[in-house]
Amino acid sequence: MNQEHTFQVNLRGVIDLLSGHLYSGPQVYIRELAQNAVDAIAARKLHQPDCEGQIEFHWIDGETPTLVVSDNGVGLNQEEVHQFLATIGMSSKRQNFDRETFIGQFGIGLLSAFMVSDEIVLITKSARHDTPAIKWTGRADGTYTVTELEETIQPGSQVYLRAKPGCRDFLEAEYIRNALQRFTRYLQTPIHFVTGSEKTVINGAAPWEAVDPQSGSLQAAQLPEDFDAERYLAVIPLSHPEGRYQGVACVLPSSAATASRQGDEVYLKGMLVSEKVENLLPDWAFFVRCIVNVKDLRPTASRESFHDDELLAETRSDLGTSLRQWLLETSKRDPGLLEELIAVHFLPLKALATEDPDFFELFCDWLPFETSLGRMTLGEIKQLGASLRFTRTRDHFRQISAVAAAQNLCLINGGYAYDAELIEQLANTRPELSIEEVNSSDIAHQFSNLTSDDERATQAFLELAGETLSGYRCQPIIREFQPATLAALYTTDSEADFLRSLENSRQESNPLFGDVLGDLEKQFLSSSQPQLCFNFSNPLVKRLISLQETKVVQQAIEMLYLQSLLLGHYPLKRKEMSLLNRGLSRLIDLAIRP
Amino acid sequence: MSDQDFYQLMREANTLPDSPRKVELLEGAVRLADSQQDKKLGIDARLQLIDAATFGGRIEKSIVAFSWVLAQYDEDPHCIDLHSLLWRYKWVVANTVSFASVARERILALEDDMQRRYLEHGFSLQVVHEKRFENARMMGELERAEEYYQKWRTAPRDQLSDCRACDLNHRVEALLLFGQPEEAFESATPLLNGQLSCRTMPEVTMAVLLEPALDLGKTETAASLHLQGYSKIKGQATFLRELAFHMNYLRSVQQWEQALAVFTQHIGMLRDHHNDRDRLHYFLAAELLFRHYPTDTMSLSTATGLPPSIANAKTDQRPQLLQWCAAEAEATAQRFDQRNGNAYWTKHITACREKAAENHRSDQEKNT
Repeated sequence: MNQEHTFQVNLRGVIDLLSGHLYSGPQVYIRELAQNAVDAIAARKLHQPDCEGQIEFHWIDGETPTLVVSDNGVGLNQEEVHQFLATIGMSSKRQNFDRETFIGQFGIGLLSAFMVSDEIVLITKSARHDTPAIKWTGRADGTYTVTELEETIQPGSQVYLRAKPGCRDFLEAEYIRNALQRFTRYLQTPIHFVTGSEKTVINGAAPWEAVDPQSGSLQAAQLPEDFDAERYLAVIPLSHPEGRYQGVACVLPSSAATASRQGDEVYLKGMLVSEKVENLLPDWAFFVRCIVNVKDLRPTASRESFHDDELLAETRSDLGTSLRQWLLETSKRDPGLLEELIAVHFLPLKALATEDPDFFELFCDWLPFETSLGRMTLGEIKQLGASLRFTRTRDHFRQISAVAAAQNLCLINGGYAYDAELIEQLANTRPELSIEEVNSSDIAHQFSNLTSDDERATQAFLELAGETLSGYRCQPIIREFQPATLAALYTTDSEADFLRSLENSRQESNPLFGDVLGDLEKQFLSSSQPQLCFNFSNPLVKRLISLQETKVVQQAIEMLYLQSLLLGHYPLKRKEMSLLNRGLSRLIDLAIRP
Repeated sequence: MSDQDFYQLMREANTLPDSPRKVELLEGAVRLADSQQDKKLGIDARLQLIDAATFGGRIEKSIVAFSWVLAQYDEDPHCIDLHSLLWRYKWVVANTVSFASVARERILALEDDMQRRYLEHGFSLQVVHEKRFENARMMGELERAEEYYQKWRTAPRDQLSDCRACDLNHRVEALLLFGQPEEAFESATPLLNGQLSCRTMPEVTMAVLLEPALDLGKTETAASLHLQGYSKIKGQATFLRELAFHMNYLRSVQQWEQALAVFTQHIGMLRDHHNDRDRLHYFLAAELLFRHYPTDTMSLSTATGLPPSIANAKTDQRPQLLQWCAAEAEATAQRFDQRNGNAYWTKHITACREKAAENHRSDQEKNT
């Protein structure tokens, strides 16, 4: 007994799945019906190229409103009706025709109408076969009937929907008009919306129609009236040489982080896919929002996004090239605009520069950086001539920028997202420039040593400092440097910083993790020790050196140590925190003593 | 500081892929939060830091940040969402074993603590078994590894399990470890044909299958794994072990120039890369490359981070590179063995050397 059986699919369950999980909302049933009509017309045009497509959404008021969607497309005969409408996942578009001509790919389009209607009636007459017109009535419980009609009707299809209980809202005239506006306004085929005696055309000019497909240039006058070009810093034409896409990229007036990017508005052959497509542009392109019509990308089953396949990758890279090209041209044609754009969007442009050596080469001079001498573009920094120094973190910059400024040294803060990388890239592409990364301990290496007399004079002070700081893994040294107002500088490198953060965490951790961190610490103990570099040019330090009262000097050393940590934004360890509290109480104590 | 600085750093970090750079920015945010003694911001920044460090090649930093976060949780369980915490705990438990200075008993204690916390909140032990399997494997305890592999396979998945792509890769690596390369290939199909992917898959799978592909005579498969896999992980510190496998592959098929290019492009990263597991694999692959490299003199101009004597040498760098890389690999293996109380990694090095020597000897015979 090897009988073959087929699964019984519960249609209601499938529809719940569709509405609850596949689609973002019931509005898409309008799109699916329009899509089916557009496809039917395209199929008819294969045989009758001069056929003028017409699509009509006719809304009829009543206790339960009714929607009739008509097209003069290819229609179906009885056999096709059985085949395509009763088999889920099967579509006349999938097998017989190539993807180029037909937008739809899924046999679930008509089924989506069950989200709002318990019964769908389809009256259809095939344009390809001399067969009678067919009436198909499908019900949400999974049953359907098919009858042949006797009257002669024109080829095409009509779909009738009546709102099911609880779904009246989705079949109101305003709702349908809005959905049509949203999804179909840029379709080539005329779409009419009829209510009572009123008949309106939904279609309007698309923004991408203002882009000349030959030259790829933008005819600003041809942008649709409701397109508010003034809102943007610029509107960039996008056009693929072989016509795979056409569109506009709007340069946003304020900067947005990648995380808050709103996505692009993308149409597939005029039909809206989504206003929030996220994978169409390269990551760095977050300074624009695009409205694009594509021809051959593959939509996912929900038709609300695209498969991330090779075709999409290619399109993404082409779009990236278009944007880059425009930036290049703008730098020549309208440097003022470019400057304005960079002022707002330097972050994504820096991201682009790290990815694209050519772009970097052309634009690096325009990019702004924070330096010890103020905000400067890389071009201005290079004009200073001398060697370029940069720090990798903001904290190191903050710690030593005053020192650098006092020596009239241009120190670049590489602590921002892409800055250190860009400067390193500059070092690779321009070996003639002398560029080096510095941290606080490198800067300290360049401070002047004391004369041997001074050194002898400070020996006792340094010994006392060493003793005072012995529990803090920090070695005191003394040098002469500017600005004289700075009494002491805490200098480290990245490994010493890590060790400090490890110690910080360890004192908070539970015993198990305390042991783990203790073990881990062993691996880093050989790294360099932080130093506390006292400034011999500083009057306070000079006074301390000559002071005889050990106790007072020790307290002062402790406070200078803490001050230098705070200057460098180092969070205090517990021990240091209590040192600070003790020190402050002592000061208060001194102040109120009679 | 102002909150503005903090959020500015967090926002910028957000624009970057997981990388040492992103970790640096987030460390800045942590310092700001801590100097303000703001626990909430400290937790926010550290959670991001743990993610970026785990997938950006700085796992020591994720361990340090996690231990702080865990302490906050133990003090006040409402300060962080339990799922966020336990999700990251498994990374920490699996990563700590990669540092030879962390004692074996600590690693076992971490596993137990993880298990205790998962049980306490009613989660499946599936992922705990998996981490125990991985740790046992890293410590050269294959019997224990197999035991936990079986437990992992039969335990139910739940929301704290690794993603399906990762779980499948665990299976592939386990099958390779237990000497079933053909089954490993079969299992890997959904990863290799693009059905399953995640942050680190199928990049890892492609790399671990390179050598078995060659062993099974699937030279075309190996070539395509290399071609597809290498471009996805090039330059990323988090994939240094996998990059080492690509270097091995290129050496095995005698694409010497390309193998050298992998070495020169990434050797600079080892300077700040403290993960001993990755260092061992990388220096071992480099050692084998220089043991069999056909010429003594080569161009290393694009490499950074080499010992000065090698970087400054104009000719005959090969013997020096061989010596340096072999010493690094051996020293790391010894530290592991000492920690593990066995000779697993030293033996591993010996076995790799013998296998490479055998392969290149038979290659030479074919050529002559």
